[in-house]
Amino acid sequence: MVNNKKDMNAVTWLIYCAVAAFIAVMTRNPLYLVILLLILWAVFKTFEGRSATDGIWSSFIRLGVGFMAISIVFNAMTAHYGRTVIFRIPVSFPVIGGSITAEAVAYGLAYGLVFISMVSVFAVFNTVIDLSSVLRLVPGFMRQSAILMSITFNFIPQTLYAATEIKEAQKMRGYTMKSSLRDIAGTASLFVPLIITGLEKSCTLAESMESRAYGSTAKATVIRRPLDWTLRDILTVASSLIFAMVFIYIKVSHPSVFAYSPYPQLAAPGFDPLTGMAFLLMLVPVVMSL
Amino acid sequence: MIRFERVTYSYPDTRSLAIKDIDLKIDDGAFVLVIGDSGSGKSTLLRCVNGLIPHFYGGRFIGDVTVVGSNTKHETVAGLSRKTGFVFQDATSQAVNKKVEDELAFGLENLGLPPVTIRKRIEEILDQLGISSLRNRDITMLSGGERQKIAIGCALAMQPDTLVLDEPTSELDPNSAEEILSVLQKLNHDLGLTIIISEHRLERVVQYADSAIYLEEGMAVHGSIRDILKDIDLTPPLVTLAKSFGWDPMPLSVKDGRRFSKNMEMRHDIQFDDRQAGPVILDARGLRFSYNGNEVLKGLDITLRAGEIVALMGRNGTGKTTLLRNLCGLLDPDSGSIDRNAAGDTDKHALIGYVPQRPSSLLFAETVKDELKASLELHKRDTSPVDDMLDDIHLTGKADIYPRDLSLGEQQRVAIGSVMVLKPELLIMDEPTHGLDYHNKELLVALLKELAGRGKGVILATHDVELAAQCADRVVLLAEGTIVIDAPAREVLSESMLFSPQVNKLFGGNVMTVDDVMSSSSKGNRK
Repeated sequence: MVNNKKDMNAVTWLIYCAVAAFIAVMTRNPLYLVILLLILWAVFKTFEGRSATDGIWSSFIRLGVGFMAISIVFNAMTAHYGRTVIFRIPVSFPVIGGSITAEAVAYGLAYGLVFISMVSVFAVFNTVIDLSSVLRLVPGFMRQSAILMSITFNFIPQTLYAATEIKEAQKMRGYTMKSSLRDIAGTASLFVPLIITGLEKSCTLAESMESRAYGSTAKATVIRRPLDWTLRDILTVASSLIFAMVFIYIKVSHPSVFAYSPYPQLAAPGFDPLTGMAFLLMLVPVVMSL
Repeated sequence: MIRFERVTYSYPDTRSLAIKDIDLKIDDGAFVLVIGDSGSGKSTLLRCVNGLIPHFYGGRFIGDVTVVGSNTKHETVAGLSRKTGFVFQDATSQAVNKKVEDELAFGLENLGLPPVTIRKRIEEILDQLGISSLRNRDITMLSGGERQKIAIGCALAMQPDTLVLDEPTSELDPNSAEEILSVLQKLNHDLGLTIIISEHRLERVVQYADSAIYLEEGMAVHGSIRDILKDIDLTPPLVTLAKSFGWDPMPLSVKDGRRFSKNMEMRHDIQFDDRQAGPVILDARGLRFSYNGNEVLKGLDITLRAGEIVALMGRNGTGKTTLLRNLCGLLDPDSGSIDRNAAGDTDKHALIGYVPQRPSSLLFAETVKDELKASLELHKRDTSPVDDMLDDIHLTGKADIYPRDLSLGEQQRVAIGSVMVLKPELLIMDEPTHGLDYHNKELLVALLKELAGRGKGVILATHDVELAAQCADRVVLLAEGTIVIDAPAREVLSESMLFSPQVNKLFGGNVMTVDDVMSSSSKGNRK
């Protein structure tokens, strides 16, 4: 249900998510990424329940964890650098032959965390933002792009929802994620219904848009709505921007703080408690909703 | 006025004609019901009225459709949107925006109307449909009935002369469906809006219509609702009875039917031949389940016996699908236990058959036969039972056809076949009559009874009261995640105001179906 007490305007959330995405992209230190992930999780749990498709994002994050596992395995099997050898595969095996090192595993893990952080920002974005309000702020000449974006953001959760329905139906028949990766029939069992369902939904949407005069005039109207700025909005925007500036300052003055490379010898990533505390500024939306 | 003059159409890359040589005239302010089997051309005909055919679909279009003086061939779909509003079956897929108010504004913004006019029209629509409380809501969070009202509002905002609706109540429970139909009736009466509606569940809508278009293999017959119903087999129970007993004028509502039924001599000592159930094969106790902190199932107990058909009923959002998914093992309950006795927890995927609301979710193979074989091959079983199963689902003649080219009813039978070929002890189906015409519904009822006759257990979540009346042994009525009543179907359906079949509303007692009436009434009543 919508809880108006917790509502903040779309621009506030847009700034918040942009800062979170910026931090996720610019950070390689796994400890700070974990802090960011925990904060995003707290925001997601605080504000979830506004859309029927919220539940889908947890599956999406699980999928992100799956990709992280693939990233770790792929990096470990193909990058044979590093001094801490876990085991060796005979070099007669092409590509994967050589030392499997802890450094390569750690590197894959660090990059996987960046990926999950980005997915989490996306999940939060979809949960908290009333995208239509954002799109109503764009200039009239960008209306078509704004509609396209609105459709995309509506379509992604709908597709994920359909994917869950199909996955469950096929699972009851005996097809699992494992079997779907094993053979062509398994893969088809999941992807053929998904693609066709997606096409059917796209077709209905296109019909619906045509039936409501989409594209009939170059001078379409855009109804503007004034944004409501509350204390919550102001504090969230201020804390996000302050944190972004602090982050940039540290990144420029002490580039090693947010960097991490396990090569050539695996070592624990560095951690500065004060910098860690600065991340807590991103918790303001959660604190303000208590 | 809407006029079809010798209209023939075929979709691109197909030889067969979707509609053939249609000539008809619809007067302003009419309420027209479009009837026909799945694949008879109903959706095609409706899409001709707002120009989606031929402009959106392409294909070969012959003849002329004139809507309020405009020939659809010479107008764009956007231009016609001011004359004809269109409401699709799936209210979720047609939404462009997330928020109700934005969705209502979408078409008006596209027309480039001044903001003041747009705001005024949105206010009018919100009031007219009684949905002003939904203004700021997320569309995905609305009930099926509310979503369909928003879709109607979006079409009405364009101030059309005609509203075309393609099966708008097919996903709704009886209460929500009645609300939507009442809204349409009010718009028809108060504003003189022409309504053209296609619907499979005729028992819901015939009473509102004053004329009907019957389509069979693309050919159309247009006439008064009574004349059309008199000549076709696809009729709701009340009309079937009226034809059997020669009631004239043919009653279209239960109220009209009572004038005839009260004079009938009925035997009330008849014992109906209900199935005998076997041992318990599924026993769930104290089931609790929550989504995002909202408790959807609140401590339910439910059992199923071999050879028994159980219908789960209740409003949209009462937890029917969640309960099914728990029983299947797709969701794990927060607390409580499920004993899948005969099915056996170890191989539940092979021993519980599950057919989702959209059977197309299961279909992926090149042919019907391959679809059935795929299930057996997956479990490394002998594929010889495929031919027998094709026979059971009445699709032997279509074994080599691509499953998605079949009608919805046939696709559903393929889906049933693809799970039943594994010989599960239990079949679970979610809204099995969604989109099915009477003919396919009859085949489904026969198939389910046959399975139950062989000792299989069946659980259906359904809004379809007539389906429950025809085949369920037991009805479990859910509300707010709890079981209101779990009792023999005849008992539940006869005591319910909302979930009782047409025949029971007429005769009361334990009479549920047309067949029941035939065996209870004396021969003197018949035509």
